[in-house]
Amino acid sequence: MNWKVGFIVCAVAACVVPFVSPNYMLTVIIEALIFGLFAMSLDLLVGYTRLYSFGHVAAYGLGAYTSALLLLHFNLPLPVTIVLAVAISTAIATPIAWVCTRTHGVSFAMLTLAFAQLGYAMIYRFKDFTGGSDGLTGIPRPEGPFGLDFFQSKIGYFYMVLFCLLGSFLLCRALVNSPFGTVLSGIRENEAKTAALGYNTRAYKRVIVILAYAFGSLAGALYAPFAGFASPELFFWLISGTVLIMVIVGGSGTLIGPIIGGVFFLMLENQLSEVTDLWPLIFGSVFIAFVMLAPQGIWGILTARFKKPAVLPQGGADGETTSAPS
Amino acid sequence: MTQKSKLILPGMTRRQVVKAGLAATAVAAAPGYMRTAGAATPIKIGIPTVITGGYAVLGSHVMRTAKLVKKMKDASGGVLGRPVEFLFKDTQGKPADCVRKCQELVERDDCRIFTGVVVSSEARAIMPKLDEWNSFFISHGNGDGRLTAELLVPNFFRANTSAPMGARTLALFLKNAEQNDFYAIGSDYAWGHSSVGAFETQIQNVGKNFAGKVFAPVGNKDYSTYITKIMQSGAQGCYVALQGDEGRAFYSQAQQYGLASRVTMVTEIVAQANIRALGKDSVGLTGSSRYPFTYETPENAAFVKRFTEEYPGELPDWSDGEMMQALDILFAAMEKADSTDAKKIVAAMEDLEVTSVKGATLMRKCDHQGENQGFVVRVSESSDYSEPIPQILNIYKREDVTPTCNSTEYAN
Repeated sequence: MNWKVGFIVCAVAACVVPFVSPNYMLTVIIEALIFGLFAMSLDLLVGYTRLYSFGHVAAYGLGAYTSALLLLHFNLPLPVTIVLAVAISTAIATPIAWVCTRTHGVSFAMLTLAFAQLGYAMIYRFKDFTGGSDGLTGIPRPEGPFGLDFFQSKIGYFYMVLFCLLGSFLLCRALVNSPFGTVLSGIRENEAKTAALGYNTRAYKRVIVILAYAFGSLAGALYAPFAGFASPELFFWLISGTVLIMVIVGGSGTLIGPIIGGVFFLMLENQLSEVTDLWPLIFGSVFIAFVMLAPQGIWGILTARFKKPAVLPQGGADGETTSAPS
Repeated sequence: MTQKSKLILPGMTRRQVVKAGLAATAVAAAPGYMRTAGAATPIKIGIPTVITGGYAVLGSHVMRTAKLVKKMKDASGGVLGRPVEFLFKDTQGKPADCVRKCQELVERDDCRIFTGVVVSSEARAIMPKLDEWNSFFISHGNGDGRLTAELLVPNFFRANTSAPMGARTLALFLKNAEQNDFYAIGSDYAWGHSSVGAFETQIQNVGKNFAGKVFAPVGNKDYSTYITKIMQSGAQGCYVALQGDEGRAFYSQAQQYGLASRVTMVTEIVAQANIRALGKDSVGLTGSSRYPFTYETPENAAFVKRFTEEYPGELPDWSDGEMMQALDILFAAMEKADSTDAKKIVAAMEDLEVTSVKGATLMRKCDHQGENQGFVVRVSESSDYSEPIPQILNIYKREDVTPTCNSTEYAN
């Protein structure tokens, strides 16, 4: 099965899903796709640059609160609001990226966590503006632009989320396959050597952190109008941990793996929570199992299944080269 | 190999006759069967409540009363001739989770009637979605005054005493108290702010001084700095708007720091759970009560008797009584509407008066607030019970403690 067949199957499934899914399942699917997008944005840092962010929730929370506040105070058309929310969040992310990329390793992780917690604290500090612990309620999904009310329906929202997810995936894929992405891989494998080759690694890291924030904030900006609500939990560090698990379980450094990881975990949580209150325990066990038994994640398992076996050169086993599928 | 079938009726084989007979029986039996199924279809009521988290004790009260009511109702023929089914969901006291669980109830379980929501900010989160969900929500304990004022939506009613009503009751009582300066501490979310805000206004209206206020974060466990602030304020009285684990932590630390012996503490809600946790240290605590189980009416006596039989060793707390009243009002509206449809329940509940465990309550049409009597109680020891209990000091008329329509303010 090549990727074109897979793409056609996915495209057909995506078109059919909203019309055959029960109402509640469609809600879960939309949330899962949003979380898939969020996980993919973290993969740019974790999978491609080996920058472990423990505070990526800040991007999600920023996007969610910005879109919520724009919708509550300005009642702009939904697509316009989402674009503006991403732009504002990206602008806020720029100085954060500047500060965080001055450090490496654990320090980077702690700084990102500190900025996320700062956002969390500010939600409570400026409660007249953010609603404090009560959050922001009654977030509308206004029609427009040009009187379009398609996005107000759940099916319409599904397609908008799907469009954003696909668009983001294609952009990220182009990015990681570009020379820019090659430098990121160089930083991931050996930053000192990449710097010795003349690349300004800090500038590259700064850009990728900003881009990861932009895509993460897009996920948040999509979530708030869908839920109709934004709460301080959207800034809480636990979500950073959850999304990191999604990336690892899905398969880091693959872009599509984290999307699958996000969808997998949301669906699993939904199904397990119906059966038992101990679902977090099963959740943890699944994570441990993946780390121990399948470190390449779900996408690694799937691709290994369809990989062609290595072909030895006709000269025999002592030949110098083997060909592997690309 | 084929086998020739016998003809037992002209033109029909035995198998065809049997099939026709079964089909005829099914058709004849169908209407009766369907009527039975319709009668047996339970009325689903969603209880998105706090099962885990800092307010879990309040959620446990909601659930135990709901389970008791189900037994009582089912034994007496149900509601509209149908059994009642409560669907419990854990919201952990988080507004986002509450919205998600309600959405699940609507879309997965086709359940469109909610009650038992514990935290006011959870109620605020789901209220704007009620119309979209074609759902009905009756509050059993959400105190934020704004829910029946600027935040009111058509499909929401509040059966319980609100925070402004509790504060008003207490202020009326404190009018003749010897203390002049009052400080206030509240939980930093919708209910806490609403309670403290209402108390600040009401206590000044009765001629007392309001010395200051402080809000502790939700889930706070260490109250030492807050207790110091209260002591330093020089106030003779302290109004407390803390519930659940927060309330118990505050009261026990207030004892340890000697605050209780220097400052008279009054609270918006005297809770049996707090009394039990504090033991004899709770004796003397004064405050308003949304429901004191010691209220003597035939309806309440029957409820307390049934409750203590069902849960030996337990006493009904305020949230048990409020839940009982909310369900009584909900069922009365359903019977009046002869329907479980959200819009019809709304129409039936407007200006409906129901006598339940707290006396007669009128569900006002103008703002969907239930007019409740106001109780002031003092915790006292009693030879009849193994733990201190709330003794009623005064009962205020419902028209004196209920705010003007669509407002948290009072005319006088």
